[in-house]
Amino acid sequence: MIGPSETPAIGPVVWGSDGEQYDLIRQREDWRDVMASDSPEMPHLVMQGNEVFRWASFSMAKTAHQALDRAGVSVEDLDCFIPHQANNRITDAMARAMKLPSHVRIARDVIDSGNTSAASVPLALERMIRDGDAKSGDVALLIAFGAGLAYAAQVVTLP
Amino acid sequence: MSTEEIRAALADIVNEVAGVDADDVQLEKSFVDDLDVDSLSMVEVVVEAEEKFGVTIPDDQVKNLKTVGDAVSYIERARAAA
Repeated sequence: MIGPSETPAIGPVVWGSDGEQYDLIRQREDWRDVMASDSPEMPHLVMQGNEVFRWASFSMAKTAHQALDRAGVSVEDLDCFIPHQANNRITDAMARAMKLPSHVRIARDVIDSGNTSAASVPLALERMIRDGDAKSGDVALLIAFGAGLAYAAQVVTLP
Repeated sequence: MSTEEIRAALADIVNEVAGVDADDVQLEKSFVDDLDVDSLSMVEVVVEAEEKFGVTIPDDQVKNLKTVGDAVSYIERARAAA
């Protein structure tokens, strides 16, 4: 639950979508064609992995820095980094590209839970709190990204 | 930059991204077969190399860069054309 507070703890959101890259992650067959078929087959999800990796790691590192700027903090001020749990390789590459200091604790829920899709950031946050890797008052950078290509990032102080 | 300077700078990038000993990153070495640099690490190497050397390496060219020498030659040509 979120309510009014004297102390701002939810930073501005930096978000958007890059429609020119709509075809990097997509459903190959149109549902209308599938349903009109005499023998319908399940459509396929397809992804251009290397291009998505490049975008998710490097463009998202820039978006992350924009969110930090908007919140008026630097990477040094962060306690936790909680990115979308797509895969650990993207998380590693993004952390390197962001020049994240070693003291920042990084969400790794993907290792046990896999890619939990649109729920990954809150699930990973809850996991960090449960495991003692994050605590009330910590400054955390949240960032999510995916098909679209769509993205959003913000800095929060954990309740 | 000389060929050797480009190779050495590229070796530092490969070391940082993939943890490969920089001394092992020699011209005749294959990224995949000799250095164990997989396709995702290769994306990172390419992006870091673009920044370091001020060149552009399109995704459709990356698959042609099989050896360290291929990458160094590509960077040399791209720098000469810039």
